[in-house]
Amino acid sequence: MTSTVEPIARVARALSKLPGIGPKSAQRLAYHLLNSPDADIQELAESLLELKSSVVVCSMCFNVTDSDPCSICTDAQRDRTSLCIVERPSDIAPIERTGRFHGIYHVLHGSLSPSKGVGPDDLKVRELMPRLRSGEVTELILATNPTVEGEATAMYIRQMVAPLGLSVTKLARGLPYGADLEYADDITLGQAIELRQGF
Amino acid sequence: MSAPRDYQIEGIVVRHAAVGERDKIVTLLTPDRGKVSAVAKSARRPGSSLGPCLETLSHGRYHCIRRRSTDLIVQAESLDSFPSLMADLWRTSCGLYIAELIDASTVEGAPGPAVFDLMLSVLREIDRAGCDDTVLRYFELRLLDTLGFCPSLKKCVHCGTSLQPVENGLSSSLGGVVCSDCLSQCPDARLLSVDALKVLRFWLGCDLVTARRVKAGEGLAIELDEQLHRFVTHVLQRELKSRSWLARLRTEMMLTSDP
Repeated sequence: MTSTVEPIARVARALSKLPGIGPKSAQRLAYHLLNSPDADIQELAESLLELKSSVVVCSMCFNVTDSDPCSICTDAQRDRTSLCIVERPSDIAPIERTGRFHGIYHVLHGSLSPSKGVGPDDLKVRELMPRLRSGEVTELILATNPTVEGEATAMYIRQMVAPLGLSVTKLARGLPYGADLEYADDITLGQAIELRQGF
Repeated sequence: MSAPRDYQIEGIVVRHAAVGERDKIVTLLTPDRGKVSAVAKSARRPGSSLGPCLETLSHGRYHCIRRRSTDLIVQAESLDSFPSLMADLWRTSCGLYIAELIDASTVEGAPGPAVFDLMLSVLREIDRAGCDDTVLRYFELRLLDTLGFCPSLKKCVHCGTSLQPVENGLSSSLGGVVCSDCLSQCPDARLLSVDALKVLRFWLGCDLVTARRVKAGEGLAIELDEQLHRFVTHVLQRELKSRSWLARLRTEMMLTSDP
């Protein structure tokens, strides 16, 4: 039931617009915020306002950042010969957490989805070519999602950059660490067998 | 007696969408129940055994639990992953066009084994031997036929006379061919060549492998594409989004293949 107190109902309405938050959860959160210390509320409100005002898109890699160019693009220690293509800004953090990739990124901001009308012009695909033509990049890593749309995007980019003669690689597919072979699906297990490595 | 709580169903994924943090809602084309929508919990989590079987164009057997709202998929087994189709951009795009066309032209809960068999056979053929105009046009025509919207190709739909081997017309609003005498009275009819009419009649009576043996020239292929596109658009009352993607991809592929 919606609160009859307008300020609470207003917060609940705003929160219920967030993904995964239903009206009941929104109302619970609104009451939680009401009972929170003033300092916490102040910090939350300020950080939300700052989110929109200070976060920009990096003009080089199209990652979201608070400075343009972003900290990765300006880092002199990064390997500029290796460029990793990801679908969303949020895909960079898990790759960075692995500590295995020291190159630079390019964020597409989505994937090709013909049935939803999303084509290359709706993504940051065209912006990729000047970066590759500069001649600094020698390896392109396609880290799109292992979905039909992600694969289609990867294939489209591979086709687009083919004349440049770069080394194009794609993230490996296989069994997740800690998984039980018995419960692996046929497609992943099949790919793991096909792409098995020397040991 | 009430229906059992759980059931198994064979299907092909024609559409899916993300729900919440990790879940997915999937629309399956099934032979027994037509289109079925079901939720798969945690299907987007890495390592989920459900995930790979719930991608668009996946053909599998799904174990579902009936719920008051949308049913729940709890197990999935892949029956066909179409590896060659998925490894090629053009074939994948054709597959996605087929999925969108099926999704737009069928309704939930209406059994359609013929539509399911048609989709599966065409996807298998694309996986086996690639996709060209003939495959797409054949699929469109046979889908219209299966759904009861097939253009009438024997007699004039305006006056009822037998068609002569001359240039006639095809009217999407009247649902078939109009003879040369009635053409002027049917403003939406477009000229239909003798060869195009022969090909359409031939496709209605043969399987896809046989249909592919007929090599249509570029002009005939364009004519068939335009005629069937008008017919399909009239039936669906809307344009398919993936069609423009196919046209763009075809142009780009032609440009890159030029010496």
